[in-house]
Amino acid sequence: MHLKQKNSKFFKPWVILPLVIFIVIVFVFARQAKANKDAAFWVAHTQEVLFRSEKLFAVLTDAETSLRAYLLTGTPYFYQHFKEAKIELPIAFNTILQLTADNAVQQATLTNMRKQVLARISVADSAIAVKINDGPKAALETVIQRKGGHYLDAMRNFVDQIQGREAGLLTTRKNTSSIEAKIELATFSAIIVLLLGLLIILFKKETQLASNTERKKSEAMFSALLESAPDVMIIVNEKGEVILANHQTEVLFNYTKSELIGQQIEVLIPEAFIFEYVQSLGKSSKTVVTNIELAAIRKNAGFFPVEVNFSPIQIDKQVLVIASVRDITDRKKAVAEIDRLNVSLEEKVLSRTAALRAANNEMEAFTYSVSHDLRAPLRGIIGFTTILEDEYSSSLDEEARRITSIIKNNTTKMGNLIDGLLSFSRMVRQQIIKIDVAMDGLVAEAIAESANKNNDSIEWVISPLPNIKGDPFTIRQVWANLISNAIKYSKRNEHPKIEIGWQKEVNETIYFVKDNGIGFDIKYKEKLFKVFQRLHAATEFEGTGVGLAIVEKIITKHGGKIWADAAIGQGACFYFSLPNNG
Amino acid sequence: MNQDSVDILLIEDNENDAELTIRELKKNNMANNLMQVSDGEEALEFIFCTGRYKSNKPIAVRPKLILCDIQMPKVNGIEVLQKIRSHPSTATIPVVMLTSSKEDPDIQKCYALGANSYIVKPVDFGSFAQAIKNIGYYWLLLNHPPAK
Repeated sequence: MHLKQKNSKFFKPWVILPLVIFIVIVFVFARQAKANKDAAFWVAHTQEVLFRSEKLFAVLTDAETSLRAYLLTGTPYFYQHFKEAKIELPIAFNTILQLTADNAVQQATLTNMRKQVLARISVADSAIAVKINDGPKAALETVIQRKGGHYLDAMRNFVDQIQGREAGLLTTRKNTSSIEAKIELATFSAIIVLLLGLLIILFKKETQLASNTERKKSEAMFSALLESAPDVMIIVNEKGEVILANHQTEVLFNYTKSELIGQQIEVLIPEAFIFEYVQSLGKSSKTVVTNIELAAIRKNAGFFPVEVNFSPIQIDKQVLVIASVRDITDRKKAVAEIDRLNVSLEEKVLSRTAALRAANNEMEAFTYSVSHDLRAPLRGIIGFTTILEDEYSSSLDEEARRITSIIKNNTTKMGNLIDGLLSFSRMVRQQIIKIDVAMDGLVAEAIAESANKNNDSIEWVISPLPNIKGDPFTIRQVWANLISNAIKYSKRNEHPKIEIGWQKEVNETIYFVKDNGIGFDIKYKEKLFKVFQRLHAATEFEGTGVGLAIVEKIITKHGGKIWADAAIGQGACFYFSLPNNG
Repeated sequence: MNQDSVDILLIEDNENDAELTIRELKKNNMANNLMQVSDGEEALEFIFCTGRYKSNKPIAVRPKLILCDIQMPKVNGIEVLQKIRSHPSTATIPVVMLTSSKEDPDIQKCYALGANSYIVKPVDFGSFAQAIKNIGYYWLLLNHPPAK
């Protein structure tokens, strides 16, 4: 394939033709040069002939005049001159004869002329003999009698003939060669023009051929693109008539391509309005129609929803429109389903919200009632037990007093549990309002508050804490709780030490409270933050078991986390994280 | 008890609470002129000399302090407070609201209506007794009541 291409390129006529034209031009120039050279030769030749013939005539004239002068004067000088001329004559004749060897007429004339010259020379010789015998007068008469006077005229006539003929020949030759040259030039010009024309035609044809190949290639690609498209692709003209349709079109609309070609696209999509679209193209800057939803009709079947895109293309000044059509039946169904689900979800949310609100209200009422109605009897129990102890102590023995004390303790405990439960439920419902919180201040307050009830033997290691966005009221509760816990569980250590610090992470800040108290078994850490779950007996460490549950609730509400690290007898560390950006 | 010169009016439906309160006040010698009514309705009748107290002379029944429980049947403490404050002759009587619950959503309302104090009765008797003693001491001895 590659080789073949190379070969065909090499033999392409529009590559060879210029070469041919060049050769022709060179040839023409060579011919022209030769013609010029020929012409020059003939001119020189003619001039030579003219010169030689003139020379011949001069020698003849010389011979005649020197003859006559000798005959008249008898001077040997003239005789000598005559003899020299007589020797020169045959040479002069030969020269011209050679020059005109190719011309029979000239040769004949020259031969004729030579004959007469030879005759005259014989006359002259006889005249010279007469002079020696009968004196110069008789000799002259011999010459004149023999029409010596006309002899030179005749010679002149011969020479003129030769010269005239030669000049004529030159003219003819010149004419002929100029006509030939003209014809030749014209012919070659015509050939070159012809070749050039051919070259142009071939070149055009070649480029057309190349562009045809390109076009075919791009057409093949285009058609492959069209056919492989997952969507329906239809190309219509400005009137909306289908020019091209891909395989998907057949699949989706149930028509064959041949059925579709030439049909209005409105047969498939009644509201396509291609004509109007094409009309609007020039007027609006928006030329591409994207994702409009229209109804389409399948052959011998009903409507179905499609999404349509139109984009104009211009080919050879003709506006075509590429329409891509996508079946959105499934999508529509899905959207409808989503809508339906959304509606039902909204209804559900509304009913749930209402239920939640009702539950919340109920909870509030319940909490209030628990708070109020459970506390009053407790107060009664404690109150009257106390009165019993105080005012009837003389009537009570030790066991009776022990029992009244148990009654009071249990009742008090129950009151504390109710209070704890109430604060927890209050925290669940509490709204968190985040502002900039100065942690150092909160920690200082919490420590001051707890320190009242405890000894000052605690060693505090407190790092300056960074501020954070949070709800100061509840965060304060977190610190108070964790710090009081740390104090509570480390109070049995001889040298209680509580460390408060922090660590900054990318998105959050982690604070911690670490003590060297009794710690706890880490396997129960899951129970730490659950309401009423305790890891220590109430007799050992007082508490209701809601403190950490409340703390966990507060931290969770802030979007943070709380966890702990501990080991029995080795202290505990409670960490909580709060988001940096609030 | 001479109903014409009441120092403290205790409005309390819970008889036990009332008894404990009165006991504590008595212990501190502040219950000599104490009147107890067991609900809001009776309280209003007593204050405005209507119903069962219509024979009383209105001007004489101006107590130095009204201790008013909030949660009561029929007419609750808030309604009682409202009536007291809305009537010119009683508008300036100090009223201390008593409640069993910290959860009471009416604390704002009470202050808005002009309650002088809002006290949560502690479950623990020691604290309760202390609270009652403090209230009596403050309002009867320390506080200078407005002119009758």
